[in-house]
Amino acid sequence: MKREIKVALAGNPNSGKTTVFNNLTGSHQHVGNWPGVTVEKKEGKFTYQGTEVTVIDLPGTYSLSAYSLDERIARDFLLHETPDVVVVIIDASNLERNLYLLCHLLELGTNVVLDLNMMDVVENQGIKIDTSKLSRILNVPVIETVANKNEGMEGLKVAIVTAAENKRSPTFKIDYGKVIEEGITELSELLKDKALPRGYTLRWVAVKLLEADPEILENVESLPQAQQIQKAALECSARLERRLGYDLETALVERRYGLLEGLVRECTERHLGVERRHEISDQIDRVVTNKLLGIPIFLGLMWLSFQLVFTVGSPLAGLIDSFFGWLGDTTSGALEAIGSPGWFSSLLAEGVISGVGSVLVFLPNILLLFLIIAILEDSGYMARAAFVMDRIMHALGLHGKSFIPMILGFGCNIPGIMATRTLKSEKDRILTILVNPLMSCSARLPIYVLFAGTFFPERQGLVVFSLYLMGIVLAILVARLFKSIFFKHEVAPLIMELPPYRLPQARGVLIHMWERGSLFLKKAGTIIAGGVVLIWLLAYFPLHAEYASAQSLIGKLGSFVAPLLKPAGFGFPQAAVALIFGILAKEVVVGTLGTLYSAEGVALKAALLQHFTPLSAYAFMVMSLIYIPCLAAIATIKRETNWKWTGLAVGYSLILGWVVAVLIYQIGRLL
Amino acid sequence: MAGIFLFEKISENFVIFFLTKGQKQYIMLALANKERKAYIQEGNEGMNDLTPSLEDYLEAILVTSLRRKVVRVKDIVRLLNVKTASVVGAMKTLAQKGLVAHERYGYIELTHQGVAVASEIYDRHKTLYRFLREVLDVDAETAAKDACRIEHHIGKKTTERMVKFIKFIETCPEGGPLWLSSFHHYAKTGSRPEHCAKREEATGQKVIPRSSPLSSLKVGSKGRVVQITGDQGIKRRLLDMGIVPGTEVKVEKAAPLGDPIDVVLKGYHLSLRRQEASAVTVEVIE
Repeated sequence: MKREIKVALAGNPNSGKTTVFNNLTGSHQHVGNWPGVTVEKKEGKFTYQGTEVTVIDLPGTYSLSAYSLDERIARDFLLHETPDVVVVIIDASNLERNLYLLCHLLELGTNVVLDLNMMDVVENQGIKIDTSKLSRILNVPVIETVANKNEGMEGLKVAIVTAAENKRSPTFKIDYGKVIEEGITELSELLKDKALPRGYTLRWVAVKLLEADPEILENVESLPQAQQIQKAALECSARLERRLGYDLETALVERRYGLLEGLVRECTERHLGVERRHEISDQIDRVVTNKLLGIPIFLGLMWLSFQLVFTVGSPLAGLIDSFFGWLGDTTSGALEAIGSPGWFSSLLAEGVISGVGSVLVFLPNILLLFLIIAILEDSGYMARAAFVMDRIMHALGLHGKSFIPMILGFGCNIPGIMATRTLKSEKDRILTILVNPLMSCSARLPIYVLFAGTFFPERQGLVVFSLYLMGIVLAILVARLFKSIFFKHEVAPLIMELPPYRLPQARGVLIHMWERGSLFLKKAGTIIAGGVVLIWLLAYFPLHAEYASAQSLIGKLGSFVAPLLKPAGFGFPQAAVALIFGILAKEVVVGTLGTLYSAEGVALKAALLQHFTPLSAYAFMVMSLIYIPCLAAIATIKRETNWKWTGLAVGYSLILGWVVAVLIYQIGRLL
Repeated sequence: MAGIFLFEKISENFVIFFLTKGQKQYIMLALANKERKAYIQEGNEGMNDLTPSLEDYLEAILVTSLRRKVVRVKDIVRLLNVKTASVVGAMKTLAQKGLVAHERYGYIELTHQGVAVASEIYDRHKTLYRFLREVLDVDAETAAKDACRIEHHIGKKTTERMVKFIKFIETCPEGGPLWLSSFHHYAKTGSRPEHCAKREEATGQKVIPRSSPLSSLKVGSKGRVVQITGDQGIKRRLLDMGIVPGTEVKVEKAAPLGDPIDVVLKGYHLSLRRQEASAVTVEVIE
């Protein structure tokens, strides 16, 4: 008989939870998103002695209050999906704070297995934890593991399966002290005969009422005599607060920590030893977050990451690109040779093959980026980067960690947008995503080089620099504007742990890289490939029209759009078509202009000089910088947010690009 | 103006002083000098019959070992300003008592038992220091010196009471008619009289002297959390991270641009913006 059980992993960030997850499930994992939000949800499976165990990795949280998104997800899952067992993974070298989450789970009445992870670190620190005593007092099974050395995993599996069989609910109670306990009893009495929502325990609801937990207050509203209960809860808290001299929320948390402090003292023995890991960690920090060196080191590391992602990645991307170019040519050549219709070979070569190619071409950069991000995160440096840069980014209405996506945006906006995954708050993430396309990516450089070289040969550098700077200034303004419109009342505090530095595990880093990379391929890839085919259709049809010529649909669209671009100084179909093609990928703009003017190199420059003035050329560059993110970026934004934000990103950039280009052209003409 | 206004011998071994300083009253425990010897023996029961100087050595080893990887005879010589020969002699005695493993090359290591005994002595020392420094407002140097002197002569029970006493003063600083008996009640049951909390509310007066927002603490200074205010979400977050009343926090450093700050508490590093840190009131320790 095969049994199936469901297990959730809970734990603080940096407790080694993901490593435990990887060890337990191996390669049998699946990454998706939690319903309705872009927080990664990982699920995996393992079989132990005929029992099939589904493991769900909950977001790393410090507590289960209802204030942050991650905590709400974890809490909702525990309350509504009722896993058979919850494994609480704890960094044993920081017992007290890590155990705090356990308090909440025990109060919730969850069937818990406690995993003391990083026992090697504990040993090095000369601390001895009396595991059996801890298990006895808490009355939960306690397992010791060293996840990054894959030690203790068998024991953990046994404990999980056994706990699922026993199905016991915890007996351990937090003693809140006489005064508060009276209040809990009083409220419990009142709630006793009511049908509590979703099988919460009496005591838990009573405690949460005293804590004024917003979600529970709302839940209680559906009960009969809701008003009476709410009133009683309010009165009771007010009375208790007078007696305690503290507000109840503080008092309850203090009690929990007080209890944990005692528990930890009771169960640990500190031998004489040096806290080596912390000491090394502190020494690294003395350099890395140093007043003078902190920012240069951060910028240096960013430069290095940038180099790795783009300098190492781009040749690989180039190889993929030329491979697909070759594949397209060969395919269409071969097809024509066997006499297939021209539209078919064109669809295959210019549509499908180049569509797939334009997705895969990003893969080297994306994988390298996630490799670096995984290393930065797992080593603990990411938190320091945010610490160092927060002052600047906060002034812009963003979070310290937003800096990295912005920097990466200069290389390519796709990895930039993907890198916002490291941001915890929805507000910070969306703002960072929205303004990221304003970071002038490397694909726009060919446009600048062509136009600046043609029209401003003596001031090329200055002109290009002015465009980069304009992007940054606009990003700041737009971020501030959107913040005040969409996230007026949201506060995203920076209350962030600086975890001890750790050596990243190769396996964990690679898994991380692959998961995020494949997510990009699957989700963004379909949109990108679809978009490429669509543009091909526009350029190819109607039949008999030359590809992308004035007679094609796209050409007609160009002629239709062109008058709108007149105020910006480049109101002719060629520019419009180039810009439409530029949505595919910004670097295509140059190639399209070449095709449309049937000229390359010097001849193209000459053709441009006929159509553009220096002023309208500058306006055109500004337009290329700002208007609509490329298709891949749009797909990635959709992947990371929803259609609403994607629509906004496209819409605002189009309008902003047009407005700025027009302003520059019109004001420039007056001067 | 500080002045002794009451002086009472409450037992064979204790004298109690009642002091006033400004509006505040403090009491001070002292040992009746004559009875000292008798008390030492009583108080030190189960303490391996250590002489004060041996206790000093143990403490010195412990303190040094907290800061360095290894403890050498040289370190102790320097720390206690004694002769090498005396240290070696003392180590022999401590080794005989099973408290120290004195190896070759001049390295000293405490045994498990040694750590236990030394930590107890050290804890006593810290408590006494706090009592002298915070309750009696003795200057730091004198407090350190006097704590060293008293520590060898006082037992576990008294130490515990002193800690409670310090806590009691922190929460009920102003005397009342039954102040001392209130303290006795508190020492036994842990509950404070109701008027303490009420008064705190009524006058809105900060109960703890020298308190300030965490955001204005200098880098390197320590504080003990008194209260957390602020926005619901932020307050809860801070509480959940372990910033609860009574927690000791140390401002480890500030970011290169001055904000955020890095605070050490409960053995880990937490970074907060000064804005968030201003929601935390701390009592400045050092």
